[in-house]
Amino acid sequence: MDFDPRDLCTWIPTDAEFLRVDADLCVGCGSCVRVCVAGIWSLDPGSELALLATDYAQRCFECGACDQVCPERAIRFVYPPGGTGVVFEQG
Amino acid sequence: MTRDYDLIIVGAGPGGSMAAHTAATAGLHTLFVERGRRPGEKNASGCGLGPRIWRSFPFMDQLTPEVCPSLREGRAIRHHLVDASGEVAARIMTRPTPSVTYEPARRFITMNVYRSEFGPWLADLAVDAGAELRTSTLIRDLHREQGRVGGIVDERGDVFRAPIVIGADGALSTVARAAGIRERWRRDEVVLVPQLDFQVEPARIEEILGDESLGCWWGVDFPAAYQVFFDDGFHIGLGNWLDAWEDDAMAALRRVVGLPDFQRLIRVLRARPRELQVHLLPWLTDPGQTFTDGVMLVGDAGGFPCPLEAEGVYQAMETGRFAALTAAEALDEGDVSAESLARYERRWRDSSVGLEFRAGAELARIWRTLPFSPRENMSWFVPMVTELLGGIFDWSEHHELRMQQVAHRLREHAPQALPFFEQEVVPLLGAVYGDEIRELLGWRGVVRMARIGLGLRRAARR
Repeated sequence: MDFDPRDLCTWIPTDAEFLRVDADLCVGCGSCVRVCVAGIWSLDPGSELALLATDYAQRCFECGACDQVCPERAIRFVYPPGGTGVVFEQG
Repeated sequence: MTRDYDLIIVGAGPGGSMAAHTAATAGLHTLFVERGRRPGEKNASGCGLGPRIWRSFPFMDQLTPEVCPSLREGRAIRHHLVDASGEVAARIMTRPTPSVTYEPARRFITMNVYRSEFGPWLADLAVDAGAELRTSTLIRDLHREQGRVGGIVDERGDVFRAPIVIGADGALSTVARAAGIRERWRRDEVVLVPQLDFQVEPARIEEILGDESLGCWWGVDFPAAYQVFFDDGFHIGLGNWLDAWEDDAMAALRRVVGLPDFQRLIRVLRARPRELQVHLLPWLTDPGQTFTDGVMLVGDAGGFPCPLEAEGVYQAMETGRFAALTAAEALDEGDVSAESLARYERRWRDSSVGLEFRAGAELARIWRTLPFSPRENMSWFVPMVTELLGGIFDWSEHHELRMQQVAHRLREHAPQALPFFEQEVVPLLGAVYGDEIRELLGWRGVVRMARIGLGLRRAARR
């Protein structure tokens, strides 16, 4: 059975930046790519460093796993502003 | 001491709401803040509520389908043992056993309810008791006055003052970080849990499942998955510690959903995927530090989920209550220092929540090495158990030969099973029973076991 996470979730939009990667600290180990269920991380084909999808605010589950696993502390996750972000209606 | 509030609680999940309810009932001027638009919409799994909640909190009798329509009693649990080919090789169904000592634990293993319904219900109780709730409010930091914790600062920079702050703000607790208790988790302290929700017609669930309302899928190709049935749907989810994932978690969840038996269940129930949820849960051998000057951590923020199975709602509600009681005493005495709040730890250590952590290391380890080590250990455990269960009731040969064939197969698993028993199971038994083992067996029991052993050796020589 195949399903696209984006079809199965609700997000309250926000313009705030709540997830970012510091390119100076990233070593391109790919831990964030492996751990992310939403698939918002990839490795940039050119620089081979972590690349965050531009539409991450409408895809992120706010689990913070990328921030937790980054060995270089290059990724910083904070919660999006109150009343925005992912909503679990049948959680 | 000028104060806007006596107590501020960050988070309106089960831990925060229970703290707010307890504090308001004790007469404290209490504020609890929630980053979601309403409590429960940023929930962290935990949809199966354990019976200890009913034993501790009499108001739980008011939790009915009228107030939480998704409610379903989890009486029977079905275990599916899935072999390497993806086939269900054995199934066992269990219900609360005769050794269970109290109601309602004799009636149900869990009470299943969507956290998106349970959260608002519990928060309403706290509001009714007099606590003030602010939703859509994210906190940025702790507010400090003369170097001491003096409240919270929200994302707009507004300050709310109180001499004590309770962090009930989940796995990624801002309060814990701002208080200097924890910067982040180690990878072997948190589990990543994707969970897929399916919608099902309530009448079909009732007709097809009866009183069965929990499922465990024990696999050789995925970490153990859990299934929770509600009135109008079910969850299937799985997790593993961040240091243990070999591939991505969604791939493992897709493997479970793709099992032929799971697909058949989806067809029979006419289930369709409705929502995907992802959570990060602390799963520790011990919560460690849970308080400091003017701050206490409860629920997931304090690392309280049970070390064996990561049950978390009961733990959150109890620690929420303990923290609020401690806050009331500390405020009464005018001392909110760490020394004064240390009684919070004594409270939870002496409770059912804390006693579970006495063998926390052994309990967590058994889960890590067995259900969460599918390729290393479930790969022999599943065939061994299914051989035992299925091998004897078989008409392929006369029964003496069948028993020899079964024993032969079991012996093949011995090189893995025996060291596992020695290294993982014996320390757990030692930690749980200690000297009681001799007491439980008694000298007669020891003598009898020795005689059984001798008898087996004599029989083998014949």
